[in-house]
Amino acid sequence: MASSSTKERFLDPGLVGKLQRLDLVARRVVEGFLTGLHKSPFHGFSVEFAEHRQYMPGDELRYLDWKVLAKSDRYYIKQFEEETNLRAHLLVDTSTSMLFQSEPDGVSKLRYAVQLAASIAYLMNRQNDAVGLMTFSDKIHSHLQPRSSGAHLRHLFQELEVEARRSAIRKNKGDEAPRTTAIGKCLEYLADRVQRRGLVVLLTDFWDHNEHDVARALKHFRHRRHEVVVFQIQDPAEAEFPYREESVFHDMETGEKLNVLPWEAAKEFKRRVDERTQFYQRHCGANGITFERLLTRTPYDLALLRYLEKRQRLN
Amino acid sequence: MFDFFNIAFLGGLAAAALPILIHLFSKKKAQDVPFSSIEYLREISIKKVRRMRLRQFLLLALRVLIIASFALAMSRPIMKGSAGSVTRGTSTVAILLDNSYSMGAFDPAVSGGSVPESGVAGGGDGTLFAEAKSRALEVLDLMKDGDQGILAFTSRPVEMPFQTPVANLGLLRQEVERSRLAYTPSDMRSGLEQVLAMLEDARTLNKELFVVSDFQQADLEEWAAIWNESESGPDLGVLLDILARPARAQSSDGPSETPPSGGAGSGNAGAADGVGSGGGTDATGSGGSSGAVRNQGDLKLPEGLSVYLVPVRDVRQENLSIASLHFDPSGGFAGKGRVTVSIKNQGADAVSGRVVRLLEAGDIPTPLADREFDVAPLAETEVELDLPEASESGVLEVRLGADFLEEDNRAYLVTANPGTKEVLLVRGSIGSRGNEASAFASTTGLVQDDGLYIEHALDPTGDGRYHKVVEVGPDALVDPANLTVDVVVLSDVGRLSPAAVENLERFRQRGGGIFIALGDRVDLRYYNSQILGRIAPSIELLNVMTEPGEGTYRSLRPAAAGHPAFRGFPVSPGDDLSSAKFQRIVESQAREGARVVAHFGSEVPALVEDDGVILFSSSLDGTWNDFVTSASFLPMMHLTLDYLASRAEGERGPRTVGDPLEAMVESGSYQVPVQLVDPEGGRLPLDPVQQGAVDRFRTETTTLPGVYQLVDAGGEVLSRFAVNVDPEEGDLSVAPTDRLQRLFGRGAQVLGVGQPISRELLEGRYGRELWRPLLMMVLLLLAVETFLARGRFLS
Repeated sequence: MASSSTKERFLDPGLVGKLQRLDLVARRVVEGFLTGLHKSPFHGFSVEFAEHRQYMPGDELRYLDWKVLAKSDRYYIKQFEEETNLRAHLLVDTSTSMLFQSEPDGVSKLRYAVQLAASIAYLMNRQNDAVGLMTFSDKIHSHLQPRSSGAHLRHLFQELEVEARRSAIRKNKGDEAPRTTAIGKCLEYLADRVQRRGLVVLLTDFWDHNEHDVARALKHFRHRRHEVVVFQIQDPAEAEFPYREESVFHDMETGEKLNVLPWEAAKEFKRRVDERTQFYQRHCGANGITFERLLTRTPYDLALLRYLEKRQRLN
Repeated sequence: MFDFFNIAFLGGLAAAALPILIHLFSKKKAQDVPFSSIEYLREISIKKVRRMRLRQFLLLALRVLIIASFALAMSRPIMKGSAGSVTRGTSTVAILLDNSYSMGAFDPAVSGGSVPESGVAGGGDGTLFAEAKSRALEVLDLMKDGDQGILAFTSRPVEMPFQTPVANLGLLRQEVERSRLAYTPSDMRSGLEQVLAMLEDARTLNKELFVVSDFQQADLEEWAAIWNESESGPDLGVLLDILARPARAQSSDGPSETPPSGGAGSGNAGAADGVGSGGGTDATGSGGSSGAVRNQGDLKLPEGLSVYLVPVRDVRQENLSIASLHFDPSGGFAGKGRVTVSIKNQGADAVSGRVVRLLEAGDIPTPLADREFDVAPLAETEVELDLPEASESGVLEVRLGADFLEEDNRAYLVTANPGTKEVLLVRGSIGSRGNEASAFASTTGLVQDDGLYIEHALDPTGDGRYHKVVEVGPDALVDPANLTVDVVVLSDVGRLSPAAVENLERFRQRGGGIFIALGDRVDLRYYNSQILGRIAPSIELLNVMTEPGEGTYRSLRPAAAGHPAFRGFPVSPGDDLSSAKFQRIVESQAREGARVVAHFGSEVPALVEDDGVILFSSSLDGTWNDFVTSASFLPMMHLTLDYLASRAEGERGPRTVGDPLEAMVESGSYQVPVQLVDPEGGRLPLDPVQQGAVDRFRTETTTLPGVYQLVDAGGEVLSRFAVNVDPEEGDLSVAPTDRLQRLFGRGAQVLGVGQPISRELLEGRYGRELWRPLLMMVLLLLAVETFLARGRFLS
């Protein structure tokens, strides 16, 4: 059993973000997360017996092989050949606004989203679920159909690595053509093409002024009986607006500049941001969509827990 | 129109730039902040930034305004404007009220331009002075609470009822109402000096000077003469310089100041009317010399002073003035005395058939003589009035008929005055004497001393009881201060310096008597050319004559019957006056204008008189005759010198109002206390100053025309003084308004006669001090700034 300090360490986005390989990040995050879980998340809902393995704390007692216990007085868990019918889609917003990072020691929203997506993908892969990936901004940049193979997972990681590098490039003042956001359009695109019921995990900052298009697209997924988990990823500065001096704000997506008096604008800005969040919360709540707001300093376990809860509901 | 009391504080306005500098130097460059999206910020900030910019601008403007307003308030700004635009500011109003006696003229506006039947004297109703007081009260009526007043009466000496500006208008009104006409000319210089000094110190919004006067042409002429020297236009310094001159003292300097006097009815208009356009010297200065402005005046006009000239007369008025009186004790009918009156016509029209009267002064004046006269415009005429009898009181009064100005229609004359006469005995220096003379003196046994006999004759008791004799040498005549006596006796004086002769001439001109006795030191040619030629040009010395034959001598006989020198002598023409023997004499000649009073038996003139000078053609030291030891010597000398002294009294006696009075009285001959009684009966106690055997009584000034009497406790009159008004003040011609305007320079307003001193006229008085509202504004701005800087307004 890993120590609690190890768990915390690998659930801290800032710390794990320092790891260069995304697969390592995902593994560490997931392993750390799983270590803290009371129940094992690894179980299928349509399985054939495969083998026994030694009981480990957290395993459900219903899979304990009582006969073996009675014969040998040893604890074995019956393991089944899992046949999963879960198909998950990870939708990662890679617009330029996602590159925003206010804290030097923190991570950008995109990095956070990429690491979280990688972790979820890893976890799903551990459960033999099929996981796909779509990165988008105002258009779809990449789209991987869900698969459960290890090769696919690596491919998925590679795609995410590309986005993660974008964040690094940005951090190093590199030039990049700005990407605006059109969440609704991209979600509609996917919703039209995914026929089989599955899980849709959306990671975005929701900097899309067409809020109702986004809401309509999310509802579209629900209409097609997908389970939807929405992670709104925010930088702490977006939530708290900690600026104190008169500044010229650059819009990362449009390049537009604006002279801002933070002490004058902070309250109204935060109100507007909260209003938007509440809008999505209400809409998601009304349509059975799990909505979670994550700050880039929020540990990943919360997001993973939300995912697992939703997966269980699917089971 | 703005002005400032503390203009130095305006430098504080530079501090108003501080907020701007602080703003500029403290402004940081806004940092660039990349942000995910400014979608919301855009909507929020555009309005906010706009408001903030407005707020910052307002704060900056407020802070600049606060500092600037404070600096302005400290500089005590004043704003002047029209009556309708701003409220009225405080004023210091100075009134120079002319109460010289020309202001006693009858107001032509009241008389309708005709001469009143009976004059109005003393500045009563209907006179210019009454109108001037009315105008002054009109000025005072326009004063309000907070205003201050300065009052000066400009007759000499200038009277200032209050030494500081007075806010009590009631007091000012009271002083104006009870002010009296003076009998002296105005002294505008002194009045301006005192008033301008007080105005300089005044701290009010407005400063105003009102000159209420009749603005006589006579004054303006002198101003204009200086004015033409200026190329640069009106200059108050020049004006004040002119005002600074003693007005009457200047009259004899200029060629056109005094019209030449003519004979009876033959006056010459002269140049007295040469104002403005006369002689091609127009007031515009186009024909003026290129000389620079003479800026001798040390008076400065306070900044922002408004000058208002308020004339009370705009037409020339006819007026006759008694210019001078001359009394000849031996003249006239039967030698009882003759008064020659010089009458000046101050008007532009010829006067004919007017009467001048001579009266014996007293409680009830007794007419003695009268005579009609004619006089040309702006000319003088002389009228002789003979006394039927010698004056009993010794005080005569001359009157003219009524005209616009009464004060100069009367003049007084003291013909005989009790009291000790002062005699300056000038003795010749020791020199060579002729052998014959010495021989004669040795035969008579007389002491050869120049002044011994005369001194003993005039002051036989040696205590100054009869005459106060001062013995001096010829050099003493160089000092005019020694010529304050009644008579000068020159006894065998050889030569005199030119200055001494000039002083003697002036002494005679102002009424002093001169008695000349000859002697061995006398150089006839020198006397004729250097002494007699100056002081008695009608007398000429011809040659020295000795005794007509061995053992024969000349005697002294009176030639002019009734001459005061022989009054009381029981002799008639042709009889010997004394038994004195004249061994040596000088033959003299009395030309026209001189008369022989006595002669030696051989018809050779012995006493020759020429206008205040009596020449004795022999010596009085016992060398040429033994007259000094004869019985007639002492009385004749007394009578002759008293006669010369009475001439001095008649000529010099009429002092002008304002002159000091001085009398010498024998010590112990009077009862203390001694008082000076003025013509209105007012009494002024005087303390004597003892000088040897006599006491000197003196008063520094006089205020009324008429006869002053020095009276002891027993009622005995010790001395009399005739005091008359200055005739020059009787010129009632008026200075042209445009000329006044130019002379008084920039900004001076000349009000028309009778023109109301209205609000519109004084609109310059309207304005206000702005420091109070400015300080209020500073406080208000501070409050707004605090509210704006710390409050939520515009945030």
